[in-house]
Amino acid sequence: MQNKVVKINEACQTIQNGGTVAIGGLTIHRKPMSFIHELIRSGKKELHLLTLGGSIDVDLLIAAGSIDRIDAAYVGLEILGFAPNFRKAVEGRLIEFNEHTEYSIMAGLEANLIEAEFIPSKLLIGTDILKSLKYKTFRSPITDDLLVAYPRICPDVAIIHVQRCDEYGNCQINGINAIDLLLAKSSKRVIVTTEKILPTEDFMSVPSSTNLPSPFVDVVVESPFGAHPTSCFPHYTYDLWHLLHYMESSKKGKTENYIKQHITDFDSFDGYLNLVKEDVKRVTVREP
Amino acid sequence: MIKLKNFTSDEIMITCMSREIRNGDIAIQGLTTPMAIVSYYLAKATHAPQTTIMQLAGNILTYAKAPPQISLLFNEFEAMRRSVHIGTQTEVYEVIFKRLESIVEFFRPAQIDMFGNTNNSLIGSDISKLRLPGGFGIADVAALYPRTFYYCPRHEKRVFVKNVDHIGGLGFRTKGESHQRRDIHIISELGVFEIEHESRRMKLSSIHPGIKIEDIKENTGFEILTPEKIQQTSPPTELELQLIREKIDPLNIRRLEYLSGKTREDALLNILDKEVGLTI
Repeated sequence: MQNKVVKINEACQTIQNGGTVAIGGLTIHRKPMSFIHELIRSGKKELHLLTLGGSIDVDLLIAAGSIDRIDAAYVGLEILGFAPNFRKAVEGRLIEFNEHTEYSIMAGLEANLIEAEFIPSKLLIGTDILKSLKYKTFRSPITDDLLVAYPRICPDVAIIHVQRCDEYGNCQINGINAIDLLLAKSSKRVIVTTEKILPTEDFMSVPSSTNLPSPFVDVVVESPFGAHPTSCFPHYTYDLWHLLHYMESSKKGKTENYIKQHITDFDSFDGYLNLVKEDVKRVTVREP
Repeated sequence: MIKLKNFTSDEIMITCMSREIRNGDIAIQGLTTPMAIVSYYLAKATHAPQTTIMQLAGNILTYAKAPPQISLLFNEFEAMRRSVHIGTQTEVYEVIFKRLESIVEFFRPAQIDMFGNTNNSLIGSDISKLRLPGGFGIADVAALYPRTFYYCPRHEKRVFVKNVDHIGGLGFRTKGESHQRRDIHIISELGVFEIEHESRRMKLSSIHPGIKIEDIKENTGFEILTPEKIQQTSPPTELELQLIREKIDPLNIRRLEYLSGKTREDALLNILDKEVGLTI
């Protein structure tokens, strides 16, 4: 057992430009926003992003010029509407977007887990999504049925925000799980940002709640309110006011200003949290 | 949103959606679909009390006793309060594969065509495309379900198109590649439709009270088949209306699905103002 706790900037330094980075959470739920800020602050480039459903996380990285390619089943701000920079960049062909489905991402990660080149399935046959992904089909050697080869997906690193973990990386994710456990198992390295680091003893009374155990985790970063303006049950809900403000500034082509005022003007996420402290207060239900 | 007699189009749509749910079904809520969750709770409070509901993209398995009030700001918190199990996205698919016959899921397409194909990916030709957020899981399961359901709060020509620009949810194509027998139902603000098995084309099942057949024809981008005798959709009952308006969605969150732009933003802020002080 090894203490895996480091500072966020140290964790971020290990991310290679051009690497494939998987982002946990789903749309406006439990996104590792403090780490997204750090990626932007440290000027990462040419990243390939993978996420089941993206929102402001993807949109900010696009606006900051950090991404070359994105693989996702959805990028949008749910009931609030389109992700403005994502839409502009994909329509303008400034970045490559591979539209997946839930299954195509999960199958690719599962293939990686079992060290297979691909997983065969009949799903998506006949759809244009399959054509756009350029996935190959073949005849089953057993039944001669047409099958799709879902190729393995192997992220270099997964970034996952959790509610609580210990210094060894035993994590208890609460609320919506999405594919975070699968991402952790299938990625080469896993960086966890957490609302709070707790003593290991605290987990011994509720071991069944530890759904992401330490063998899958490489690095732990403490980051209270690290998912704001997305949600982190049961501590705070998504900040729809802040997200609307973000969309408003982006629609006016002023995401650069947002990034400067909320991210690059500060040397850490604490500066951001201080700037938006009234916003954070409004959506806080229970302190971490 | 259209005012029809003593109810509005969102209310009759939700009633129609609710009535498709059979007692004991498993109802899954995807992303951003308040009308779907209202219809699930309505079914549970009326004819289908044994419905199992999987919320937040199916991750959170909930059991509600009294019809609960839906929330915009605290959607996940409300679901967690009623949860008996938290799953993963992989597990959601395991449930789907195992219980295909019992699953009900309402999808909202950006485009649907006369053969029941749907599109949530992009609109337009190769040169000029409008990028949509993406279909999430629609394309995975639309062709698997024995009963596939779509709902279209806006029945317009740009939604009901002759051929979708990009096939996500697979319907029946003209050449009839899919011979598997399955049902596709479409509920819109004007009526209820299905893909007829023989012709593999969209046909009117029932027309909402107060709507004329011309309204449907004028707002559909292809020739829609009509039966010889046109049925009228049964209107919502007093009890259904009361449950929707007073118990399940008194803040009118469902109506956000009809709005866009500044109007939607104002409605959103108005709802948020009412919810911010709530104790969770």
